[in-house]
Amino acid sequence: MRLGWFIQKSRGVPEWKPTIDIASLPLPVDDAGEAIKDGGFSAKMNRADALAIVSPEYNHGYSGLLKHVLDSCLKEYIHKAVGIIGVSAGPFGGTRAIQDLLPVMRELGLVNIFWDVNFSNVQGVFDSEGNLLDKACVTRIDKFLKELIWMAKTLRYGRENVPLE
Amino acid sequence: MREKIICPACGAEMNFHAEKLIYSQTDLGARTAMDVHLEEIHTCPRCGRAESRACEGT
Repeated sequence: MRLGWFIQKSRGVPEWKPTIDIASLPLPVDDAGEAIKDGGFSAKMNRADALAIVSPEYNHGYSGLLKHVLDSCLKEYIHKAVGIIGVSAGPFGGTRAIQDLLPVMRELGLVNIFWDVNFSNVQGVFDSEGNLLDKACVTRIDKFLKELIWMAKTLRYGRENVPLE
Repeated sequence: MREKIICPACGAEMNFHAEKLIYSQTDLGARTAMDVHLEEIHTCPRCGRAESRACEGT
C-alpha cells in the first residue's frame, strides 16, 4: 500500500519524491496517535507541501493501517494540500474509501482538492512493472496534479506569510 | 501580544497561521472532555518547519 508521493519543499519548481510505502514504516500497534510518531516519516511530512494518497478500498472503507499511519502526525499536516487516488479491483475505483477519508483529512488539517483519481479494475490498468496501460487516465491525472500543485503553492504562501490574527 | 516562536532549525521568526483542537491520546481509547486543548500552529517562512504549542490560557 502506498501513501503516495510528496512534494519536497524547494524554491521554484515542485519536486516529486519517491512513494512512501506505509507497510514498511516501523509503527507499533499497541498504541496509536502521536505517541507512536516515527521520526523519518514525521520529517517527510514536515517537509512536504502536499500529499497524494493512493488508497485501496477495503470492505467499503479505507485501510485501518493507512489511518494508523496518518494519525501518527498532526502539526506536520496543518494547512497543507491533499489529493486522494482511489484503487479497486472492482468498478468503483475506491470511491467509497475516498469519500470516507475526506472528514479525516479535514480533522488532520489537510485541505482537500476537488479532483480525485479513480483506478477501477486496477488489474488491467498497469502492467507487471507498474507502467500505465490505460492512457485514458492521463487527462484526469493531469488535472488532479495541476490542482494539487496549485493548492500546495497557495497554502505554502499562506503558512509562511499570512498570520491568523 | 502573542509571543513569536523562533524556528529551532534555522532561527527565523515563525508565522502563526492556525489554531487546532487537539484530543489528547495519552491513553489509547481514553478521551474525555478534559482531554481537549487548543494548539497554535506556526510555520517557518525560511525553512518551512512546523511547530506547535498550547494556546495561552488553555
